[in-house]
Amino acid sequence: MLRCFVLLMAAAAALLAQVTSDRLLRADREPANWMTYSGGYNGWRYSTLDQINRGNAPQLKVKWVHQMPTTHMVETSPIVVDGIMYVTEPPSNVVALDAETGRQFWRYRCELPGRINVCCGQVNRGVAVLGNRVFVGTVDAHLVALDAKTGAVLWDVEVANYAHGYSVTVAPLVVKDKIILGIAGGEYGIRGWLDAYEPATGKRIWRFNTVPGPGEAGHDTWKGDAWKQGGGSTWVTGSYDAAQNLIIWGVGNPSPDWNGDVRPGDNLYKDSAIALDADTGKLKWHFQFVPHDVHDWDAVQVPVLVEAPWQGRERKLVYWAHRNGFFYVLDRETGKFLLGKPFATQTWAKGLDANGRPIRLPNIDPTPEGVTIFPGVQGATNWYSPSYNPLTKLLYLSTWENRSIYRKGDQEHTPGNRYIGSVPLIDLPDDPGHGAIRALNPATGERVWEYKLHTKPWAGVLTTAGKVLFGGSDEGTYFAVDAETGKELWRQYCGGIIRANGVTYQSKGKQVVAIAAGNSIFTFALP
Amino acid sequence: MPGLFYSPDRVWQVVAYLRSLAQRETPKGDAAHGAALFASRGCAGCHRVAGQGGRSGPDLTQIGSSRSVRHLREAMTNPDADVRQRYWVVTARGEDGRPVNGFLMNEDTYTVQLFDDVGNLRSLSKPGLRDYAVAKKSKMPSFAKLPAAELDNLVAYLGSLRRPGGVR
Ligand code: HEC
Repeated sequence: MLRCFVLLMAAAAALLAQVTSDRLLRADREPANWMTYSGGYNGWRYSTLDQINRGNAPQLKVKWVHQMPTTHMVETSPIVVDGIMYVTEPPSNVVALDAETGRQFWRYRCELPGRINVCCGQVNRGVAVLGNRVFVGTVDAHLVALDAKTGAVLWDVEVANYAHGYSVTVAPLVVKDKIILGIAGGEYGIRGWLDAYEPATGKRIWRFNTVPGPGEAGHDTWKGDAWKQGGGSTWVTGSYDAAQNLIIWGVGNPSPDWNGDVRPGDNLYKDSAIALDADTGKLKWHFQFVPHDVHDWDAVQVPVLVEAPWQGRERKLVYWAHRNGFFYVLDRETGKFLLGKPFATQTWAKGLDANGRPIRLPNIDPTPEGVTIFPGVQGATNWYSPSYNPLTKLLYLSTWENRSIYRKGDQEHTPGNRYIGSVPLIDLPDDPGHGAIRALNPATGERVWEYKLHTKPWAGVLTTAGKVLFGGSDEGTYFAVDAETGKELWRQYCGGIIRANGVTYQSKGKQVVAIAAGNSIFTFALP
Repeated sequence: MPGLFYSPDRVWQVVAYLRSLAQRETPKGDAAHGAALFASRGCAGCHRVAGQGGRSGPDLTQIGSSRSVRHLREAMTNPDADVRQRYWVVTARGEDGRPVNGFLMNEDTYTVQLFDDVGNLRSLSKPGLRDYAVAKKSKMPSFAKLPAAELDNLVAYLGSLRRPGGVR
């Protein structure tokens, strides 16, 4: 009897320590943890924790620092479950740390081939967890499952051929009993997809091709063979609408990036939001922000899912501040366009038509001599996360005021080699632009406040129920501002550029904020 | 695509280096004469070579390893053509109203780091500064009026200033 009881207790403890899909669904109920990339399926990067608030934020202090033995850029967003923090170390390694002290439990080292084709550094944006497993995508295009307790490999499957320019940098997303995985390689002429895998085995369950092939809907937006290397990567983690069982995800640029001559047509589903049935991977709706993109303005942003009144009735919405400089509101049941308004300087579109299709200005397409327009190649925003705060009802994001010279050149496609169609001038040497954190009223797209930065930030924002916004700069400073006014509350120089998204959790009952800066994870807490 | 990672000054250095690779021209002047001119024409007052000279311009101890002949000549004849951030000139006044001038070593949203005109390293808080301005012009006078042979000799001398052991 006693033995039986002890066994039961052990089983109960083990169960608690496991991440179930139910727990992921109700992530907002356990703010002590940060269990998915954006902290919840709605893509808000928001926490109900309020121990750190506008009154005491100025007292924040460094709690611990974890330094990574890496020379690559650290873009990871930590996952914290029941006292353990899982972070990726670039290229494709994983460490499990004590969330209280930063001390390491285990490290998984991914052995990689010599030549890896990645456009923009051998980076990784984080892991996903389910049960006793931790999942990581690798720059040589594998998906690996690790034992959450030891880091031992449970399975390792190749999801695409890295030698042809495919790589995984995205944090996977667990949805019910599936691992949703995107792919990178839009600068290498890949044919993109979004996949679902079986957590127990790594077996693929479905694939949605982001470049439709013959017989697939949307194929008529391509001509000839261009679709075979049409790009369409999916390298930023999307969101999940449980009520509709829809995965909402952003699709990247077409290939080649800056020369569209070889791919006439709208080029679906490039630069689009796609909504897929989570069980089958079938497309329910899509919305293309930039038909026939020739500026590399991918839709690789986190979709922000909100229920809010829209013109008198409660509606399921998606907020999307897009790389092209416009903020969009879409209906989440149909993909219908509801609102579009610039949130940063843009000189390429007269506006959007009734369906949200851009009304392009003349002479904006790249030429051999080059055309100069806002936003620049890296966009008015990019992959770093926005945040939605249900208390202020504002949408927050890092933005750029910047222009580039877009050039057009010739390009032959050869598998595994760059396929971009020119090299644009990303920054004008005399006017490299600047950045800002901006708060938008999503009902109108109007700017409520901005916190100006000398340089252009590559760090996402995080907001909390303490009405504090956390953000970072390329200058290496992590800061907190009042989410209602944008007034600075606190800042800490971390000594290394911040190109990552912050998270917050609780350790021993006290709120902690974590961010990757330089090659380290920094954590902050009240004294 | 999600980005390439270099500071503006670093980009400048890389570009200058790549250009030097593209143009492997051998200087036609006489390096020994150039060394003498470097002292007599006042270059050493601003530039340091192997620990000797001023600090109001870049250290030139190994300049020949990473700069093309054309760049070296243009640096003398048209200094404003290509001034990197480290040599942009800040003029401002502090909270006390006193002038602060110097080379812009670094800058972020909140602070600025200077090598001031009397040789001090200074880090200042931006909100405390008044009349803050940055000029992207060179502090170096143009030497375009030097006789062609002297310029050739100076270029030859600068080109000979290399890291020992050949090109790496
Ligand atoms: C009043 C100070 C001053 C004097 C005198 C001066 N320079 Fe300069 N020099 C500078 C400064 C400041 C720069 C950096 C800004 C620029 O690129 O013009 C510079 C830049 C240069 C560069 C380019 C360095 C690089 O990193 O590419 C060269 C070469 C150079 N000087 C050579 C000379 C020579 C040779 C003389 C003498 C004939 C000379 N300078 C005299 C201040 C001076």
